[in-house]
Amino acid sequence: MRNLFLKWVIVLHNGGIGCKVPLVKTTGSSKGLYHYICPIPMISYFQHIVRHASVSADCPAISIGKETIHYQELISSAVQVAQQIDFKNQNVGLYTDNNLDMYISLLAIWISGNAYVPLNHKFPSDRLFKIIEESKINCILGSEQARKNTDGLHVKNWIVPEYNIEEVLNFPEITLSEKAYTLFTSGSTGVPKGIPITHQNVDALMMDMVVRYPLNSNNKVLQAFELSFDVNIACVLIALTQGAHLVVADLNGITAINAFKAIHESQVDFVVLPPSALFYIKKLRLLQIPQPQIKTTLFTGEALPWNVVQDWKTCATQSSVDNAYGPTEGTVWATIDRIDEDTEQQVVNGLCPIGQPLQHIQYKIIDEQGIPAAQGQRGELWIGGDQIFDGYVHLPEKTNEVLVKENGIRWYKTGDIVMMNDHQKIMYVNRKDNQVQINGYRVELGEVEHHLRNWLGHDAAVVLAKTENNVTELFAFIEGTAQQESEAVEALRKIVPGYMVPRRIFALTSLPINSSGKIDKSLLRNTYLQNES
Amino acid sequence: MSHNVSERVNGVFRKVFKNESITVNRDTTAKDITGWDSITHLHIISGMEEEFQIEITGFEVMNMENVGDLMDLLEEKLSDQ
Repeated sequence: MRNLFLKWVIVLHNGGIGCKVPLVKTTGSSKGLYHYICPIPMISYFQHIVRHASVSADCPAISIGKETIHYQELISSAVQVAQQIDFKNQNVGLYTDNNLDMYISLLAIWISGNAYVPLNHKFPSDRLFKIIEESKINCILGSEQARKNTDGLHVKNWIVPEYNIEEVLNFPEITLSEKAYTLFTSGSTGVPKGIPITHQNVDALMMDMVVRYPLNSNNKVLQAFELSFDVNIACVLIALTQGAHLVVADLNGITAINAFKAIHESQVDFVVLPPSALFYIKKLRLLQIPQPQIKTTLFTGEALPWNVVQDWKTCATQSSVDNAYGPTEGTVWATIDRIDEDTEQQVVNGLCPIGQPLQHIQYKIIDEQGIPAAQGQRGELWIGGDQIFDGYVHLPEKTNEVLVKENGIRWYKTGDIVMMNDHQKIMYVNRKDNQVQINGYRVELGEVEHHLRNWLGHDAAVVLAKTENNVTELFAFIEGTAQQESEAVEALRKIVPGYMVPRRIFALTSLPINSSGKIDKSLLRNTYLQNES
Repeated sequence: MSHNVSERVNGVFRKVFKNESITVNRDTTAKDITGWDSITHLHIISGMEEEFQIEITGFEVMNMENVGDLMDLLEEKLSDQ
């Protein structure tokens, strides 16, 4: 339990970058002055968070349900937990049960000079073991209960946050080039793909965010994303670097309803949601409950249909609406578009433009011949600059496929086919490969097929994605028996996160083959998926 | 007055989950049943509306914490009819 009677008060001297942060012991017999040297002198976003321990000391920092932590307590608690971590420059597993301890531990991992790797409690153990193995995690931060429930995920060094530490030590300095976190996304080979992001990457993102979305302690920011999805950390930092109040929705149960409930009950005014959430919010008649307090809405994680914007405007009548696009490799967001009166005429295939690059993002659109595409022509979107990651964990070949260095700029080939419209805005067209977005998560259809084939013991399996009413779902086809339909679903549930499990698996005696000798996906789609919803 | 709410609610759940062995009680929540996700939730709500010939509002959806809340709501709506 956190010590509610704080032993430490953080006071900032000089307020400048790289300053010492004295921790003054305020209770007990000895009144000492201890200095906590903020370990990230060059990293302005972290300095800003620490600064709010002083300038916004009594302002609420994070609320989850009925629990709220204020800025001073948040930072003080994080400093204490950081002292339990006696190593540096390592990946630390962060068990994500979406409570306040998790957010304190996240900051503690940074203060101690380490990087966090989210271990989502909703993921099957098999997947968590793979993430632990790939990122060489030998220490996890999490509750005692979580350790018991998971048998410590077979990691010996499990740190349970403690908040009663008396001695405050100095922490090592951290440079921009060090890792802030590593996220794992779907990989077509069946092994999750690790994407390490540095403090420099995050810093570059935040320099744009604080200018684009200036907030203060009067603002409330919604958190409706899991830590294993990078939009989570963007919401955390947009709020905490500016002294705003992060309101975390209950991420168990039906997230779209819980997100709306958090917006309504806490009167949240800065909202970040995936467009698919609106489908549920509308269908469940929640849009009929007006939310005029919302000033800013960011839709992200999936392509944004124009009708979603129109629907949302009937509820969030006073809100601006932005469409934010970006791959994890480019640190959360690479382009953002403000939806305005000109947007409707730019809508293509029902979708809004993804806009223009962030402050520290450069871009180019490269056609099939490998040259820049002309205005209005399609090509692959390349993004470059300080937000771009430096390569996948243990996948040099995959890294070389997608990263290119030109004149000192690191370019990432996104795999997204786009075009530039007449308004100088980038339009998303489709994916170059077999990747889809489900509830904002990237899913390689090949990964689901890989696991199905492993389970079946033969190769006759194919996975198709179907998008209807802005919601994408997976359907699989296998050669097998009717009984295997449900068995395969159960088997997948033990291997991959829920969003990767197909809504339905069809077992056929044989999969149809087209004239090219490949599985006839069009025939399967037309025959079986027309009436599936 | 009872309207066999519990039995009929269970019937809707079995139909939605295509599983005859599912039994829900007042304490059941989305966390307790594998596959109870956003889409299934929509089907549960529309299934209840159809079964009981009622309409569930956004406020009511938002304030439902578990199956018990749903059953109480259905009882209340049926009594008002």
